[in-house]
Amino acid sequence: MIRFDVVVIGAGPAGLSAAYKLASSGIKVAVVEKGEYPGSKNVMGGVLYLSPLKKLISETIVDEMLQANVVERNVIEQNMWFLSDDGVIKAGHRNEKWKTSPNAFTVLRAKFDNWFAKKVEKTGALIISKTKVEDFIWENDEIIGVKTSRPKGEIYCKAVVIAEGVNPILTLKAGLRKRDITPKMAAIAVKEIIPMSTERINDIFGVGNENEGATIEIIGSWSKGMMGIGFLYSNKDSISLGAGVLIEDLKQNNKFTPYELLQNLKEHPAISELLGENKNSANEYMAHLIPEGGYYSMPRLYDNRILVVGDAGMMVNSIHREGSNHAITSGMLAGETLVDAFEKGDFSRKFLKKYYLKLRDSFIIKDLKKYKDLTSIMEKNHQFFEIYPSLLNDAAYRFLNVDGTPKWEMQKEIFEMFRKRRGLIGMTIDALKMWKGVRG
Amino acid sequence: MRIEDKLFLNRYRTDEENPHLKIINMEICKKCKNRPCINCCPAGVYEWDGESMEVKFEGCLECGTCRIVCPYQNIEWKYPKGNYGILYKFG
Ligand SMILES: Cc1cc2nc3c(=O)[nH]c(=O)nc-3n(C[C@H](O)[C@H](O)[C@H](O)COP(=O)(O)OP(=O)(O)OC[C@H]3O[C@@H](n4cnc5c(N)ncnc54)[C@H](O)[C@@H]3O)c2cc1C
Ligand code: SF4
Ligand code: SF4
Repeated sequence: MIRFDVVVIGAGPAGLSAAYKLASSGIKVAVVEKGEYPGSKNVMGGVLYLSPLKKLISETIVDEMLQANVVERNVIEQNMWFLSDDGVIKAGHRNEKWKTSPNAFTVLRAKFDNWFAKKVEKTGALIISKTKVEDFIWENDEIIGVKTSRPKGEIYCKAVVIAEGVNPILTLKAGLRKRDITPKMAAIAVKEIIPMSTERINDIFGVGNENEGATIEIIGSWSKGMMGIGFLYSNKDSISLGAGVLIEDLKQNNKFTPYELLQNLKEHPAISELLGENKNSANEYMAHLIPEGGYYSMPRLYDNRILVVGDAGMMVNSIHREGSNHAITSGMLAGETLVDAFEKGDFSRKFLKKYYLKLRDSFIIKDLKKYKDLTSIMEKNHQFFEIYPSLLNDAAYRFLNVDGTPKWEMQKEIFEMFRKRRGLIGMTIDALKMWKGVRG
Repeated sequence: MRIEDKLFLNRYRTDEENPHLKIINMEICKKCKNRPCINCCPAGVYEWDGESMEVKFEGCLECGTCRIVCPYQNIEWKYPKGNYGILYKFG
C-alpha cells in the first residue's frame, strides 16, 4: 500500500506551491498530474506576477528564473486598446522601475510549470506525471486517499489538496460544490503562438533587447458585443495572441465560434498590421477556460482532510487578469495550514478552517469580494464591449480629423453622437454601475 | 486558417479505443435548440449530420466548454486517461 502524508491533485501553480511549502517543511507529499509532464495541459496568457513566488520561495527566485531561461520577457509596459471596426484608442503605461525591479514576466506554461515542478521535486516532493486521479477513497465519510488511473494506483494519505483547475470534477465528487459551474461562470479563451523574429518584436514594442517586453489587452469590436477580452503579449521570439469570451454570451449569440472571434481580432487593421506577414502562421493553437464567476461561484474551500486551491476554488480576478498569483498564494496558504495541522495532528474541518481565514485576510478574498458584482454587471451591459469602444473611436476620429469644422462645433457633434447612441441617462447609469462594480 | 489546420499544429496522444467524450442520449440532441456544443467548442469537435451528433474527440483541447454549455448534461465528459490527449509544447 502506498502512503503519503499529503496528495496534491494537479501540478499547476496552485498545486505546486502547496507541495513546495509542504515538502520544504519535511512533509511527505505526492503531486499527481495527468499530463505527460507538468504544464503539458496548461494554458495562460501568460503574465506571471513575481511577488507571490518571491514570498513562497525567496527574493532570489527572479534571478534564478532568468538564468534558467524559463521566462520570456520582463513586462515593462502594459497597454489597453479599445477597438472600433476601423480605429483604435491606445492607453498604456511604461515604467523604468520595472526594468530594475521586475513586476511580472511573460511565460509559456509548458515550460514554466515543468521548471517549477523540478524545483518542487528538489525539496523532496514526488511528482507523479502521466497519472490521473479518478476518485477518492472514503472511510466513515472522510477522504483517506485517492484512486489513480494506474493499476493498483491507490494512494493513501492524511490530507488531500485539490488543485485540479477550473473544471470542478473532483471538487464535485468531494461534495465541496453542490452544483457544477454554469456558462456565466467561465470564459472560453483560445490562443495562438505566432512566431516572430526577436528584432521585430523589439521594434514593435520599442524595447532594447529580448529580455524586455509589453502587454496589450484588447476590448471592442472584435467580440461582437460579447463580454470578451483579447490579449497580445510579447515572448522572446513569438507573440501570444488570444481571445476569451464569456460562455453564456457565446451561447446566446450562437453565430461565432471561439476561433472565428480570434480571427476577427486578427483581421482588425491595428492587429493585422502589427502581426505583419506572420499573421497567418502559428506554432500552436490552444483553448482553456478562465473562471469568471468570482466570489459568488466559489465552492467550499475546506472540509475534513481536504483543501481546495487555485482555479478549482474559482480564485481569479479576471478584470485584472490575475489568476496564477492567486493560485500560488492560495497554494502556499493551504501548505502552511497543513504544516500546522501535522504539528497538531488535527485534520478536522474545524482546524482546516484556518486556511479560509488566511485567505480572507489576504488580497485574494478581499479582491474577489471587491469585484463580486462586476462580471454580472458587465455581462448584462454589453455597451461596455460594443458601444463605448466604438463611440470613443468615432469621437477621437472626429476630434483629430482636420476638415475645417470649428472645434466648438465638433465638440457639440461628439456630444450629440454620444447622446444619440447611448443617451444621457444611459451613460449616467453606466458610469454609476461601473463605479459600483469597481468600488465593490 | 481552417480549424482542422489549427488542430494540425498541435501534438496529441490519442487513446483511440477509449473516447473520453460520449453523447448520452442522441434523442435529446435531436430536440436540442441551437445545439450550443457545436458553436461553442473551440476545436470543432461536434458536428450534426441531420440525424446524429458526430464527436471527433481526437481534436479535443479538453477545455470543458461543452460540458458546461450543454443544457441537458447530455455529454459524458472525462479527461482522457493519464498521459493521453492534448500535449502542449508552449501552453
Ligand atoms: C487564456 C488564459 C489567459 C490567462 N492569463 C493569465 C495571466 O496573464 N496572468 C495570470 O496570473 N493568470 C492568467 N490566467 C489564469 C491562470 O492561468 C490560472 O489562474 C492558473 O493557471 C490557475 O492555476 P491552477 O494551478 O489552479 O490550475 P491549472 O493551472 O489549471 O492546473 C491544474 C492542473 O491539474 C491537473 N489536473 C486536473 N485534474 C486532474 C486529475 N484528475 N488528475 C491529475 N491531474 C489533474 C491539470 O492537468 C493541470 O496541470 C489565464 C488563464 C487563461 C486560460
Ligand atoms: S448541447 Fe447537449 S443536448 Fe444539445 S446537441 Fe449538444 S450534446 Fe446534444
Ligand atoms: S472539451 Fe472543449 S475542445 Fe473538447 S469537445 Fe468540449 S468544448 Fe470542444
